[in-house]
Amino acid sequence: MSHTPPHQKADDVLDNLLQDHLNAPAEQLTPSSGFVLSVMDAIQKQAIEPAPIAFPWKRVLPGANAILCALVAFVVYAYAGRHSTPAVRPDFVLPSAFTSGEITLCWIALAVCLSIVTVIASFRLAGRRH
Amino acid sequence: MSPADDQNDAARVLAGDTSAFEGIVRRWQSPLINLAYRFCRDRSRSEEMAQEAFLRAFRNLASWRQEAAFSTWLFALATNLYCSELRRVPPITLPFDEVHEPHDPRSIDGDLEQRNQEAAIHKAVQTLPPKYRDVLVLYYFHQMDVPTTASSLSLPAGTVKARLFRARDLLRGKLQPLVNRHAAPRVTDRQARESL
Repeated sequence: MSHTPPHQKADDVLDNLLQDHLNAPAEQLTPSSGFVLSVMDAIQKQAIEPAPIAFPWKRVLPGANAILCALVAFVVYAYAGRHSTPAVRPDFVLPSAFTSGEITLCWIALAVCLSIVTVIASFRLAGRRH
Repeated sequence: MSPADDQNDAARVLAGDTSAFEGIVRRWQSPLINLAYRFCRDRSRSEEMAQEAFLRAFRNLASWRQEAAFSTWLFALATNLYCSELRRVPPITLPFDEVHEPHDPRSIDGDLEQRNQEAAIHKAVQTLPPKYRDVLVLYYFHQMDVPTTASSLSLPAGTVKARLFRARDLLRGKLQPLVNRHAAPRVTDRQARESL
């Protein structure tokens, strides 16, 4: 006579309950009559739509690389300037000729220039498509 | 429903014959709608979700690598869509505490007992954390087949087994009285009367 451990029996019971519940005939849906038609309608619409415009990675990558390199260079420069002593690396210290206000102005000017360049580039790219 | 039919229709669609996709829709509409229903328990929403799954399948048909069965690819795509759709708009569920178990296991009204049992299991499953519920629903939908469940969810089989174990553990806790009642030897009405 085989003896089933109680926890195994409980697992089997749970399995049966779940199987009966999740796959019960009452739970089986029949698709509505217009379903295929509605799907095919949506697919036909999608098929005649023009393909989405691919992002122009080839044009963007050189600019993005340049910005990334400038950022990395700035971080390295700032880090080295903060951690090096003037006796060892005097050339890495930020020039004291600029006040903090002027440095902020420089950053704003740089950001404005970048924005203008981006807007011009996007207009030119969009203009070529037409 | 043969794999060759899917292969032929897919080849025709990829060659530009959009109407060939109708064969795929006709063959797979019922499984996809029923799978969606397992997740959202809402008939109209399950049809909307299935339609979206077919649209996505149409868009990505070229990405189906023919060494895998079409059904595996389609179920994986649909499951992915259904899970993200339900994360976006979760199905309406009641807290588990709001479901009442019948106090008397030997209820006179068998239908009522059955309905209560169904409601208790339904709520217990719906209140599971999504990652366990999704695995559980798919496991039973795929006739308790772990590899198919794993490929539908793009998860390793070991992860599916672990989540199933945890899901069952949680359900056992939530459905303890029900499991105990079904595990105990069934007391017939006559035996019950004799014991009084």
